[in-house]
Amino acid sequence: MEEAGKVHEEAPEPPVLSDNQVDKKGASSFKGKKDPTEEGNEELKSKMEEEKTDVKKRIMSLQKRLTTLVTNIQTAVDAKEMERRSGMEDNCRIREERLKDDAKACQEKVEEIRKGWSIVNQKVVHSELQSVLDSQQQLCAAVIEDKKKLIRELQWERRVKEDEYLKNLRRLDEEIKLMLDRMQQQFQNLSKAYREELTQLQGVYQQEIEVLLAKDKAKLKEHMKEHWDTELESLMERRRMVEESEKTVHDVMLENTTKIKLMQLEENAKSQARLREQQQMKGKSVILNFKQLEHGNKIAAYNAKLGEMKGKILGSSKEVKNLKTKYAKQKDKFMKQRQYLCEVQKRSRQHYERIQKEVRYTTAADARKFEEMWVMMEEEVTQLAEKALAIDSLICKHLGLAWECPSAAFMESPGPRRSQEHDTNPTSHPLQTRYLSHCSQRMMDASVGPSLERDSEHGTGVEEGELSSEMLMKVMELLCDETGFLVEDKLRKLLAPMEKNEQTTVKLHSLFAVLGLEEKDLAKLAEFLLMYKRQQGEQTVGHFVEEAEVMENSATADSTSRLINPNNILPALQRFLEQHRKSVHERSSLSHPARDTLVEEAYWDRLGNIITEDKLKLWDAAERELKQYEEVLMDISELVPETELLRQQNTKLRMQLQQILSSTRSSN
Amino acid sequence: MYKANLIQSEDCSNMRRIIAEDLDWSLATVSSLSNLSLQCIVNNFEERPIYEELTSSEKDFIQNRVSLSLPLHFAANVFPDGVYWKRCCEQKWKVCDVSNYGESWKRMFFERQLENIIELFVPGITEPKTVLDMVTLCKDHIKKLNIAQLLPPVKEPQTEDEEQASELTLANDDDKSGMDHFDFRILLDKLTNLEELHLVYKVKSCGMNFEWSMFEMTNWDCESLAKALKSCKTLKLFRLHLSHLEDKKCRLLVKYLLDHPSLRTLDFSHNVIGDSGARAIGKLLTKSKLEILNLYDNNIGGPGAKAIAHALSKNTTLVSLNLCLNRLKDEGGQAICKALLNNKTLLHLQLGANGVTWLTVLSLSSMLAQNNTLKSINLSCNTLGEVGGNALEEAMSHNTSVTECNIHLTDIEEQRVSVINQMVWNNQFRKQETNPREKNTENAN
Repeated sequence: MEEAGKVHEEAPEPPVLSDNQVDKKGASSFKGKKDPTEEGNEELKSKMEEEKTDVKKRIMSLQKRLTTLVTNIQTAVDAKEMERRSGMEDNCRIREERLKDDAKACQEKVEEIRKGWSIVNQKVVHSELQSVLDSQQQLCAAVIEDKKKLIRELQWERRVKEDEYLKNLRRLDEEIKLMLDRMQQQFQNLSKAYREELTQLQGVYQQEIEVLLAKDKAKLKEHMKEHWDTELESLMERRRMVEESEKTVHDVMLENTTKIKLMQLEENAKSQARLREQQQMKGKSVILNFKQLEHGNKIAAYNAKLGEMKGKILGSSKEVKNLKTKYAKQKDKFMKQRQYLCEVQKRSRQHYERIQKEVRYTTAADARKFEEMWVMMEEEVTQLAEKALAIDSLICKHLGLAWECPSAAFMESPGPRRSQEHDTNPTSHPLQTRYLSHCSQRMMDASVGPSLERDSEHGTGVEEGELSSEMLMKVMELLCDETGFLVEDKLRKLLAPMEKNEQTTVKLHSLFAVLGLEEKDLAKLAEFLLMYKRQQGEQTVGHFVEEAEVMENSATADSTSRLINPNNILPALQRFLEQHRKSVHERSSLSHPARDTLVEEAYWDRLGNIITEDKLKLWDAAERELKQYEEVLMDISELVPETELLRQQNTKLRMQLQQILSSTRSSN
Repeated sequence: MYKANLIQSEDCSNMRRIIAEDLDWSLATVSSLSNLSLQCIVNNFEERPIYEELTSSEKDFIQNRVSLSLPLHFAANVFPDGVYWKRCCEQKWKVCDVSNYGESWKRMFFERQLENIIELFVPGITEPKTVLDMVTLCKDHIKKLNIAQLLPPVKEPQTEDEEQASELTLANDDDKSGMDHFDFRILLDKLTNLEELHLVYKVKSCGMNFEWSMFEMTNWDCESLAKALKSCKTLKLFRLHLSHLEDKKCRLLVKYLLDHPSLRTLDFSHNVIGDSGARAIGKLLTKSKLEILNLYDNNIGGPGAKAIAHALSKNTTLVSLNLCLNRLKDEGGQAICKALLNNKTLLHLQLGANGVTWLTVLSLSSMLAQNNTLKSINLSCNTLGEVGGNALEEAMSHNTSVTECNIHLTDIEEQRVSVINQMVWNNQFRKQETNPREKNTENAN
């Protein structure tokens, strides 16, 4: 076994070594091959390819070599294992044979012993038996010895085996270490190879690069040389040309200088002649200059003046411009202001109208309230009056006087307010009618203003158009002439240069301002004047209603062209003003139905005096009498209990007397 | 600092002097309001987790600052893969290679966490609930489980009588009596994304408490595992190594794996599977769509290899077959080589250390003459001898597909080995010339 093991141990080593050697040789041979290829500097490409394939081959071989190094170990181990197996099998076989032999030997001996036993059975003699037994014993001992020997041998073998196993393990350990080392080495080898290859490749490439560089350099040199040659040639040519041109230039210069000198000489002669002429001219010009200077001074003075004037003009024009701009600005400003004011005015007018409306409404409301109040008061007062009358009648009855109703009619008659309400009632009391007529007249008076307007609108609607144009103007003129005293002297003076039309309008304006009239009243005034004239004719200073009727009747007959008598104008105007003022006044109270204070006073007086002074006196006297009577009555009432008491005392006393009487009578 | 600020604002010319005087004064301005509010979110993250509505930069800010002591069930739902899980991983483990976990830190964290829990699971003591709780959190993230140990239950000190009694009872009962490991049935059907499962039934660093039973699976373990595997429909790779897997258990496992819809890689290396187990695997080859089968270091002999070869002749999916370190002998080797005459899919065949001789090489070379799909062959540690070397050289001279051929320790002359290697090398180079892309991938592999 040991030998086998030794053989086995040695066996794997040589091939590995040899492999290594072979590989190294291969590698070196590759290297050797490479060198000449590298040296050959021709046909770079083919060389490079060769190089590459070479490198490939080399790497492949290296890889193979390196792997085989490991696989070799494996195969070696396999071989060892196989060896071990076969050895084990052999051992087993030998052992088995040995055991078999042993068993056979044993069997024989046992047979012998058995035979011996049969002999023992046959023997009878003690000594013989003894000897036979001894021999048997010996035989048994021999068998046992054999067995023991076998066991010892086997044990020894086992020990050997164990040792061997241990050794084997150790060897394996060593081998594993070796393998690791080898693998390490392989790694190193491979990396070294790769590095070498790299350096080689680098070298190759470098060489290639160098070669290429050299080639390029040569090319460059050639090109440079060519270039320089051409440059030189061109330079030479240039130089030649320059020389030629220099020569020509020199010649030309020489020619020119001679020419120029000749010309200069001529010119000098000419210039000298001219100088002479100039001197002469100078002498003349000096005299002329003096004259010119004088003249120039004058002109300068004028010019200065002119300049001043121009400056002034310019300044003024500037001013004008400024003023214009200012004016424009102002205009704009005022326009704006005007617009603003217009708006303000419009707004205020609207405001005013609104206020008027409000006022109208409030006055109407107030009037209604007042009426209501009035009616209520009347009712109350009448009630009070009735009450008073009732009391009066009572008093009269008490006094035993004959009471007469003061005036039943009055009691029935309603107040002036109510009478107004019952305006349409045809069956009215005489007193009421009186009131009514009075009231209606008042009312008509009050409604002159508005009716005037209404009439002008309705009644003279046809005339209106004519009135507005020609008539109006005429009437105006007339008015202005007649009322000239009202116009101020100053105004008249100012108006003197103006046209007639304008005069009249201005005058009218002033007149209206004096009279306190407005422009819109103009039409009314004209109409009134016309109508007044007609009224004068008919001699009626009655109610306006009638006037209106008359006017309506005569409206078509009267020609509008007929003018008013100028003498009538003033009183007419007066009247108009009166009416106008009244109307304005009444309009201010917003056409409230006029109250006749007198009537009301009378009414209220009557109501107040429904109990007359006499009656009051009577009442006073009655009161006094009654008071006296009351006092007497009071006295009586005070005396009543006294009398009663006395009566009671009296009865008591009577009773006592009777008792006494009866007692005395009985005693008697 | 405040004072310094004031003075600075008053007189700029004094600034230098003031900074020199006050060493604590810094020009760093007050952090912006957004940063302050984010910090506030971080501080109160457990009470008010505001995360989804933030922008990506703000999310990064939060992942970088949030306390790692957040409860896992809370964090698992809030944070996607990112800085937070990186911090978790780096806090827990020293070595973190995220490239093994699909560049996902979250996956790494959960996988390793679950592995830890299972590896420390002691049946009968640890509550299965701890595993289940974890599974509910991480079932969507786990793709690979690499379990390096499975602890047996703690043995109660048995009295001698009981031991004797137990010796008398049947082996099955003995199995059931208490050496069963973690039951995978509660786990595998819940992991809906599991693709790889690596299992070892062993106990790490057991020291002087060594017992053989620690390094093997019980019958009950085998049955539960088989059922669990059947329930896991997404599994692509299953590896059960170093677990003393016998024929009987192998048959049981294979029986449940027969109709597995997604299994592509099966690895039973370093077990004790014999011929009957190999027969079962042969049946599996005919029924499933396995692509890689690894039976390295088992006990498969000639009859088992014949069964596999029979399956191989009909199979159209298997790409790689590893039968190294078995006991195929010439009987099995020849059978497999003959089977490959009819197979056009297998790329890698490993028959190393199987005790085959030149007889197998003869049939192999006749196969290589016809088969142009096989890429790599491993015949190492077999005594092929001169005859085998000749035959192989002859075969390789006609073949263009084989790019790898391992014939170390096969008693072939070195010169011949180098010739064969050169031919293989040429094949490989030719292939790379025509298909440089493939080269890179192969190199990477």
